[in-house]
Amino acid sequence: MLKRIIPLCTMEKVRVEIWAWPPTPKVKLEKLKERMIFEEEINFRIPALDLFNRMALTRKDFGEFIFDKGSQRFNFHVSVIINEKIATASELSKKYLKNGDRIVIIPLAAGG
Amino acid sequence: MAENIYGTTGRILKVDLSNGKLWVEDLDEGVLRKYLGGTGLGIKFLYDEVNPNLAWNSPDNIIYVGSGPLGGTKLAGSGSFSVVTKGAMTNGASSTQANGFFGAYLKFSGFDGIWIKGAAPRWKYLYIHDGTAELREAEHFLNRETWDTEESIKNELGSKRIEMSVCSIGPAGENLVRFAGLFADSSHSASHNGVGAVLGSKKLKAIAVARTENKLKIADDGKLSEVAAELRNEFKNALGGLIYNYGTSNIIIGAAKSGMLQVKNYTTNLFPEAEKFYTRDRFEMTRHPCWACPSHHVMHTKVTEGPYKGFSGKDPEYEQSAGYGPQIGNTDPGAMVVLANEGDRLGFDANEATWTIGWVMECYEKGILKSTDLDGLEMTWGNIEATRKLMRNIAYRRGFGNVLAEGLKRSAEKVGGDALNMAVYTHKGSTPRGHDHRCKWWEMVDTCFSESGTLQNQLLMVDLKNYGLNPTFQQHSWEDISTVIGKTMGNLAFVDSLVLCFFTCSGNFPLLCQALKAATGWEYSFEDAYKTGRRIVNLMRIYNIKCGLTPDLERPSLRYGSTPVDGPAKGLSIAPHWESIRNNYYKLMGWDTKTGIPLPETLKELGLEYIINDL
Repeated sequence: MLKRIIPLCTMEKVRVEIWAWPPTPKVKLEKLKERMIFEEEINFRIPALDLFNRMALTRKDFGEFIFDKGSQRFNFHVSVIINEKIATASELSKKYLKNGDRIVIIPLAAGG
Repeated sequence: MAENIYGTTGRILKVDLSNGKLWVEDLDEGVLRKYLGGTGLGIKFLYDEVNPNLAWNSPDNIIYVGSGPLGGTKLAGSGSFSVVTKGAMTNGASSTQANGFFGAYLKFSGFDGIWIKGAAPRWKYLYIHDGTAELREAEHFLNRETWDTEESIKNELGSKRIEMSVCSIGPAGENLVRFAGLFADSSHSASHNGVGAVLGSKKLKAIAVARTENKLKIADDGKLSEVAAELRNEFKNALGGLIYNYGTSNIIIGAAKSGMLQVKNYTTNLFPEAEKFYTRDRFEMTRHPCWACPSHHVMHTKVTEGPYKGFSGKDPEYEQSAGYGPQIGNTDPGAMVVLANEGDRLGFDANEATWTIGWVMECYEKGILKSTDLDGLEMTWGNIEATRKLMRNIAYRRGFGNVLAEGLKRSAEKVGGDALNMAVYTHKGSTPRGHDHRCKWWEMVDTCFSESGTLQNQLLMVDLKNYGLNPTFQQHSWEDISTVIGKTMGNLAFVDSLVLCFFTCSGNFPLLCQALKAATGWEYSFEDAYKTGRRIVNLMRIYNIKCGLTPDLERPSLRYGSTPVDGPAKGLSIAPHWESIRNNYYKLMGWDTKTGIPLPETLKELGLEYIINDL
């Protein structure tokens, strides 16, 4: 008799891509197109803001330069794009992440 | 050079083109401390000496080309210069800057700046060397493009490439194209608000400065070396070395990803070809650094593929890449290099030119402008050869080019109807920089409220904590952006009065104050820098109000303030918040919230008591 194995839970992941660190970086980009890419697990669907709070705790540079846990806000240079769409600050607590979502955190550098 | 004065030379060269008279004037140290140089000093001259009722092309308008107290020092990017005049686009105050060597050589020659008035009866160029100056015939340089003019003058004066710096206008400036600029050192342009047209109206084709021995006196050379090294290190690391290592052309990739890229006149925000436009991955490059700058920012390039293979010129900056690329529907980076260089050589501002060309293309697509209106040109999106011809028609004011030479706002008003609603401009009269500001609200706000005819603030790399602000704010909150702009306004005016490249100083104002003290011996705190920047902005403000500025002009055109229809910023709209933004900004600037006029107490606090009763 064939046994069907039903997993109790599946590990869902989202991809977080960070383009060039905002001011006072600790990381020098060796190549322009080098990105900081993290596969972040999300056991349950969680608001994007929760993920960023977790990343601020677990990844020192992220908490220091990109996302401020105290104010629950991002550094003013960056824009947060979830699945090709800008997520405004007020949307981050309402936007629930799901498996396969792609988040890009990118500085709005300009000029020249 | 004045005695007992450090950092600055303490004097300027004055030129009256109407009678060919040249003389030197000493500067009062009190005025220098208050306005520094470059933009600050230029605005002071403009305010005190140019009647606001005069037209930009009046011989009585002055144009000031200046370095500053840090010019020509060992600070990276201290070869920059600032140009101030009553501008042709806004008919108000204009302040625009270029990098390179000119500012450094000017200081070595013993002058902080050049004050120019009048109009020459015949075309001239100004030659400065060994602490003296002369006006020379320039009729034989007419119709020469900027790079050619530079080389020709150097040949005439027997100078090698790096022994002289030349800034010049091209055919666009000669023909009073309103958005003509001033171009220097084969790469750099001070191009906003029509400063090239003002020089054209004065029949001054170029200014050449020979490099002479550096006799600048520095108050504390050791300390200045220390600060210069620290600033270089900051620049090297800022934004992960983004600008230092890769220049600005790389910005196009991130701009496309974030929705900040200008694409086809704001009819879309999608440009999948963006990565192709990072030219450093693609073409041959040679470093072409500015004075004392160790970075890899400025490059010259050779196109190595495509129909324009073999073309050599400067590697375009980001805003040129965006303007001559996606804005006009061009997907060929080689063609973009060609167009950007031709624009510089003809001598016009890339922002105004490309907003105008993109608008023509949209009008053509929608049947508003036809080939018969455009002197036979088929202005389809991405039509490179038609664009090249149109650019020449603008520079020489031929056919419809004569209409476009007035700039986008005036052209759109002339064509009228739906065409007016499709044009991207500010109601003050100029176009924005080469971005899609509909996703970067603070720059749209800055552009529309600017007193100078272009961006007036710079937040990139600035430490907001110095202004008592949390370094986080919401990009799309009207309260946050108007607060940040209102509280930090003046920072760029300060840097442009020191006359440094903003990239190289990384917006580090405490370090800049140390550099200023080391160079001049003046005590200068962050508070002093803050006040100086705001003093300059307020002086420009009062001048512009006297020129006719009213609050209703401080807003984007319909298309500029529109809502993106696709891309990452789809659906975001700043328009409903504009009145709130204006009120908050005026309040934080210490201006009357209804009229936008600086309050007496604001002017008093900034040491501008003497102009309180001027309005």
